[in-house]
Amino acid sequence: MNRLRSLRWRIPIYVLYSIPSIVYLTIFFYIPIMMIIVYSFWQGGPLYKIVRVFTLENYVRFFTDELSRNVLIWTNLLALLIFGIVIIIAYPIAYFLARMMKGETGLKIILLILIPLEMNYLIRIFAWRNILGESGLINSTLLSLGVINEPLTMLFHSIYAIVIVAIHNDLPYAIFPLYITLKSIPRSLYEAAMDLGSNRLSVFFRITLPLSLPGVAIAFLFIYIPTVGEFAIPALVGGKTYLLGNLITRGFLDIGNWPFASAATMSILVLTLIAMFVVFKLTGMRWLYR
Amino acid sequence: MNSKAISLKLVNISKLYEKVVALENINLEVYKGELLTILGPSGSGKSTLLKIIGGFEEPTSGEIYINGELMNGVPPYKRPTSMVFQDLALFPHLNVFDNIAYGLKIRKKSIDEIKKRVKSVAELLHIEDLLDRRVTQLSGGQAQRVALARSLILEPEILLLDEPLGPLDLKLRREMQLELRRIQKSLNATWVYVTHDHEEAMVMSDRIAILRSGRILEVGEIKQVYEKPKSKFVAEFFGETNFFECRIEHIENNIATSSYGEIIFQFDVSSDLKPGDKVILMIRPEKIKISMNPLSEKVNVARCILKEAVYKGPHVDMKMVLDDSKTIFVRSSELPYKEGELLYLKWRREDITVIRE
Repeated sequence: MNRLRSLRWRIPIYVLYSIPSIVYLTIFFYIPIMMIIVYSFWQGGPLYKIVRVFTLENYVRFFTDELSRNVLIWTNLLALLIFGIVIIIAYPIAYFLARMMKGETGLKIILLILIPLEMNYLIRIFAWRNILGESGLINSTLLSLGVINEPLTMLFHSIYAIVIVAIHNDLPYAIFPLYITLKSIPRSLYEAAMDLGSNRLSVFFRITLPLSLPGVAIAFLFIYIPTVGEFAIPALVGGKTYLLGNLITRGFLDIGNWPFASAATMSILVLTLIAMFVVFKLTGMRWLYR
Repeated sequence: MNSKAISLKLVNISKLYEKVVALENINLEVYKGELLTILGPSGSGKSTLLKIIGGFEEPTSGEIYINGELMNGVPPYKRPTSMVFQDLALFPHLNVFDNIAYGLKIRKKSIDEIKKRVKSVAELLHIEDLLDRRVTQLSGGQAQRVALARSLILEPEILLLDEPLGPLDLKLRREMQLELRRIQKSLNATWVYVTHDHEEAMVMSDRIAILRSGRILEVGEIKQVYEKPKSKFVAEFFGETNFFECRIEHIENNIATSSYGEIIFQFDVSSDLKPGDKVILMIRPEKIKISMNPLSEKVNVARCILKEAVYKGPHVDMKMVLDDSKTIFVRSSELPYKEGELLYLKWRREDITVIRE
């Protein structure tokens, strides 16, 4: 009896605290993931046909089928492009806020940048219709100025619209981590570099940029990975554009081939994990925060 | 002394931060090959002064000359100075070798030369074994040496050190003080060292400049500043001491006589003082001799009661009270006396320092 009591007391309190979240995650995250893994190795076909026999066919099809392979490549290229443009736009903003603004001013502006994220994602995407759409702000302005005679269609329901909307959505996710890393670089490091002979350009490339790479890696995590799985933006403003996210959505909802859609999901998950690992390795995340 | 070449010259340097005066009319000369310490309490402006010399801050007015060349407006990367920062500012993404080689790489030296020079500076500082390490893996003392090596490798005209030993523990700090001094002497280099620790300043410096509220109170060699300070603040900065405010009664053969209560002081004065002048007499606690028996002398003696004695190992700090309850600090190497005992103190004429207010 005594022994039992003493054993009971040895369970650390944080284990007890973690039980609700473990239960929640198990039911709503780990079990579904497991199910997707299992489905991906079953034979399937259109209209929710599932044969519970082990096969690698779904994976082979995902990587060899011309349509899905092209979609995979194009989605990744598009995600890289969006990530690259976002970093190029966000870096100067974050640099300015972190290094040029005095005291807390930068952080206050960051909060203003983050406020739109409180708004519903779909509403934010739809809002672009008023700017890019056929009777949107840009077209009506250009029409009334007489620059064009009929509305530009390439602005909306096109791959350009996806890029524009995605960049707008992703900017805060790049500015914030970049601001944090830039702000955390001690001023004395810049001064030391200048003292040792670096001019401003050299300080940027030898000190600022390498030390802000962890911020770039976090931005990668926040931008590249969700973009690879993005389905709402292409569905709403992308017109005929078909990205990986749409391929999977269609696989699950329209065609009803769950095993193939599951295999696609798992493939993307693994690929993005590999990409993340490579990026974190390259940016030196490990030693910097050890 | 004046024949020495001047390495750094500051002329009327002032610095204002939005109407707050950080530095006021600083005039200072640093000779080639000397270690000059800027000593002052926190907030005295000593780091600001160092930053102005290094080029990180521009003075509001005044000129900086290094080897006779005007340095105002010259950015840090074009000045022949190098700074060891208070937080060391080692680059966390580079290893020890790359940190030390940084300045040479910027100057586009050949790889062979870089390797050779890193090796020799590493040997000087005994860090040859650390070159492959990450700077995050270094101990406080090692990081210290790497920061120093990074600056020394460039052979700067003037090395600026901003309280570099601050975070080290006392024992390591004492060791590093002596080692830094040894290195500075062996290189015959010009160093400007900032600290708030008067003991550190005394161990390390050729000369000391004492800074208070943005003004230099005094510049001089250690012995002179310690024994013959020109102000009460400077005298007190180097530890507890005794002050007696009195008037000169008469002067004969450059020896003045004053009295403070029952005590009659006799001391050497320069010719510009005259009877009736107010002076502060300063006597260091360790200069006072204690006797248990009444003394035959009439001047430079005092009679008092031992109020409190604190045993500190190498010495004993005592507080004595005069008749008028004024406290006198006395430092002695032993303690054969009891608290409350009547004791007789005496001091030599030359141990009295005259401070004019």
